[in-house]
Amino acid sequence: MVRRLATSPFFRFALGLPLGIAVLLGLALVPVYQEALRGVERELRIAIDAEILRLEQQYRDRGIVGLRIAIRERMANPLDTDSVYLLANARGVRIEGNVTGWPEVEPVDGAWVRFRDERSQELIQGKVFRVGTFERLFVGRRSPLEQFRQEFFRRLAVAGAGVTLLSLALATWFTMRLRRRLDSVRATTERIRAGDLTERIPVGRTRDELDQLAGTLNAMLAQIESLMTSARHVSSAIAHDMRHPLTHLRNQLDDLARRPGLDPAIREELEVALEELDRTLSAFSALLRLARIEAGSYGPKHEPVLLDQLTSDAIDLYRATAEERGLTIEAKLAPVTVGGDRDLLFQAIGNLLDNAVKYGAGRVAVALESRGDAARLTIRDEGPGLGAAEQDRVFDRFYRSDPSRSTPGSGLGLTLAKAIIELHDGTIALENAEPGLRVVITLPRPSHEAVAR
Amino acid sequence: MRILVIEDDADTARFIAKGLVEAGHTVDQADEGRHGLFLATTEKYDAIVLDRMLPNVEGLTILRTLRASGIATPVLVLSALGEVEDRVAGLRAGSDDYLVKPFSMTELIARLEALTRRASGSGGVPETVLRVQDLELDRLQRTARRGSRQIDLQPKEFQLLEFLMRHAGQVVTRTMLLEGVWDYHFDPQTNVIDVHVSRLRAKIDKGETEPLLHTVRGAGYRLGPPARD
Repeated sequence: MVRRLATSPFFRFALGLPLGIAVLLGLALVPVYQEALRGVERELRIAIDAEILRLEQQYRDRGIVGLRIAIRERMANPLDTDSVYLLANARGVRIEGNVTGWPEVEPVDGAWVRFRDERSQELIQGKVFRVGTFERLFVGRRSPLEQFRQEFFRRLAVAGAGVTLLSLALATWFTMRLRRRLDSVRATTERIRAGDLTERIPVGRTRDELDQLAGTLNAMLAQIESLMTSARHVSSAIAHDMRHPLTHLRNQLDDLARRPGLDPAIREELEVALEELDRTLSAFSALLRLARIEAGSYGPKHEPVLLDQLTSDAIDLYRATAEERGLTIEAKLAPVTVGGDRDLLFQAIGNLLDNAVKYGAGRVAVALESRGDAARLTIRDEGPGLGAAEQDRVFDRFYRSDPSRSTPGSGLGLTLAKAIIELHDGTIALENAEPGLRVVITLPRPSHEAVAR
Repeated sequence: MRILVIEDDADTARFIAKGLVEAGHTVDQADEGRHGLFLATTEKYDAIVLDRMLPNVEGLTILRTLRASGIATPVLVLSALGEVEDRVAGLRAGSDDYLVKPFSMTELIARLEALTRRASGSGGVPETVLRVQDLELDRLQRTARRGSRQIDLQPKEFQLLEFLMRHAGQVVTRTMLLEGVWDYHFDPQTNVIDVHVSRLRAKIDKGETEPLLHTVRGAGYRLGPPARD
């Protein structure tokens, strides 16, 4: 989760922005800091130089004694605690002053030195100048800069850590919130993709960019839903409208074919044409029935159906075709009763068996069992099976696995089966049986199943 | 056969009449329910074709009235409403068969002939042995024979042959077979019935000089002597 967070552009932005600002501010402050430092240093040197001049004057006026008095007077000044004086002899031993010994530095005249007080570890800087033949005087200040710098960096570090942690926390929280909103959008679109076209993305009340996006997406979804419904209606409308003229056409051909004294070759051709027409009409009927079932305007009977008996009958019907194709159908059927429409369920299971036999090889295994409050029927073939992409589409109207459409059938068999099963509040799913395909159907059993079987 | 057609759509009525007449039957037409009812109660018909969607009075109401008057003439209901609930309603009202529009003329004729055959034969005890030419089927023993040759049939094949023999000489459509033999009203998208019939044909007609089980192109099957064109 943490890794995923780091890849999120929102997180990177939410974190980068405050850190970036902090860095920029820091950079902007650097010259200010340096300028301040330089200013303080300048002041220091000026003050020390002035002091040295004054002390020099003392020495000239009153000699070493006068110098010593002057130094003592200055050291006694309670207001000035930072000044450092050291008058030392040639060997570096203190004559007068408020530090212990001459620092480990060369007593070059006029040199500006820095050293650390052994006792207090404070940084002292100041100037050296020679007095008389052997003595040397050091005048300096305990550096405020050192403390300043230390304090400054300490506070900077604390602030930096604080900003980083706060940014991390805010970025995480912000990203999570955003993600939650996006996830809700994604979940809705997934449900839509799975088939529920009536779903809409939830829109908040803030009318921000995400809400506007959701609004636009919802409008698009409404459009898609209406297109799909009308597309379904179009195919049903076409089937409905075309049935009557086609039937008249069929009847006319039928008449023609049965005319006495007709050339047998012509009759032959007419009969072939009639068969074609019948297939088309049959497909139209299936399509219309499908439309009615899907629209829910179909009120199926709700009677107890002995599903094992029904399945056995269906297998019986398709066994001959299976054997023609060199397949065997094996059945393991447990007695189960469901509620529904006998003819419709026979149609559904028949269509599924038809498919298994059409595309299977070797063995078709049918199993029916009772699982809790539902019946579970599986039909498994050992044919080439279906890829994941095909599995999604195989229930579409007119979808044919065979692109040349040369196998018999209209492509409506599975669509009809699915519609019928869903009408019975059941489910249908496809699984890779490796080899082959397994179709799994569940149908609810009536809760008041009083029949002891 | 004498057939009454109660249908308000002129095109359909003409088409049905033409088909029936060409098949050798006589046809009376009524384009409205009450007139149809009048004809049905005053004249004698072998079968009635009744459209459900009639002006003024619903077809099923006519039917119920007919039955209530004691008229037992077989009635075949025609309807654009094809779902099972509609068929059941038709059957409950007293119809003997139900055909969905659009339909094929051949199917209509086949079913009408089946109705009249059923009606005329149901007076007595159903025969235990059915015979068509030299083909014999014993319903009690569950055996079948052609001449001296015993035919070995699976249960469904037996039922199929039985149905065909009961409708010997008539055209039997695939839908009729599905309903009569498998007892389901079902629309197969492929030729699943044909395979069963071919197998039966192989058992009955193989090696025989005279084939008995014929395919009627565009309609279904017929069991009987070969048609003379």
